[in-house]
Amino acid sequence: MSVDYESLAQAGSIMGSGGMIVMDQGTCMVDVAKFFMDFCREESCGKCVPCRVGTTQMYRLLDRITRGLASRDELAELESLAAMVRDTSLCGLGQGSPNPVFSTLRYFRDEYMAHIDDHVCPAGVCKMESREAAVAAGEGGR
Amino acid sequence: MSVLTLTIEGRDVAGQTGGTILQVAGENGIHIPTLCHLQGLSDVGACRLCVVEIEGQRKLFPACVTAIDEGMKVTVNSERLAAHRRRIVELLFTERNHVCSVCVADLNCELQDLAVELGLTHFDLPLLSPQASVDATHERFGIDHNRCVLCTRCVRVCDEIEGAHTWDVMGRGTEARLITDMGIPWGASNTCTSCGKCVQVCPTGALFEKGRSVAEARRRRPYLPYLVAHEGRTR
Repeated sequence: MSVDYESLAQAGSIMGSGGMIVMDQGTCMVDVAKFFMDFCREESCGKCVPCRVGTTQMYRLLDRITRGLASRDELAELESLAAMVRDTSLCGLGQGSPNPVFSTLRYFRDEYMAHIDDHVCPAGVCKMESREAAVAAGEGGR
Repeated sequence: MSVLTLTIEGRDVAGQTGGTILQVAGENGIHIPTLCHLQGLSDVGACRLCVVEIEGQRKLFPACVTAIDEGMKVTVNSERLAAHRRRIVELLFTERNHVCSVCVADLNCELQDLAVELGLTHFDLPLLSPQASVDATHERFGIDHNRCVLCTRCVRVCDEIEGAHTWDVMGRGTEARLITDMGIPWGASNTCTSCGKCVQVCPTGALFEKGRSVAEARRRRPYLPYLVAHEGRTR
């Protein structure tokens, strides 16, 4: 793949500052999406509602997936929330914040499903928690 | 000033150059949901409830800060917009601690009205339930940050109309909070003139007059005629 604006856009990425991150099978793509969402949540200025609250809610959903607590319903919730934040945010930070979610779902949906259905992190990065214990600790599940 | 013609919701309408979609829609009786907008104050496009679709454009545009253009075709209501707007109100409800039954603004609350208007019957997202404070140090008024939606109407009315600029916003993301002066208690502020404009423009029960119990707050915006006078001056 050539490194120019058009090719990167086609792959669902952006040029940004020209940085490149190399990953192998030892990287969990859900964890990567969570990492970038944490960045956007942290950097959100708080002026517009979709970015201010949406990035926090998306981060929470991603966190639940990486802990093995999320259901398929919550993944659907994440996808619809991501589309809404992309469409309605005021600036590029909010509009671009769901990009890692979209591109990891596009190319690595199986990794999301492994966390949700099989309670397994294929890359061996995420620590899976007991759903029963989470519910008992007051962290509702659906 | 020349007149521009455009289509909103399939209706042919006309508006002055420089007018916004929200303004022209309103003049023609077409309703667009809003929250941070208040006639007479500058618009900030922060709540995103007024987003509309413009034919030929991939992005959505906030009607309150988007100027009309000749031949523009605007869609105000679509399934996608309705879902997005409902989600925005849901995000606001889950962000802080909105409990209508014990709120001074119950039945006089724009957030509550929006939930009803947009058909928000339940929350799919979890409540964030932050520990937000209450400042009751002012002699006549109070602020409950649990009910604040950060629309910044109070910031704008205090700066643009009263000229005091007592209110501002501190912090970022979900940590953002309204502050008086440089973050001192409201009662200790020496820029606040105690005019109460911030209380009257607040869409929720965040800013309230002391001594008003649940569901007694009545916003008296018609008693603020200078808001409309100010509107005329800036156009």
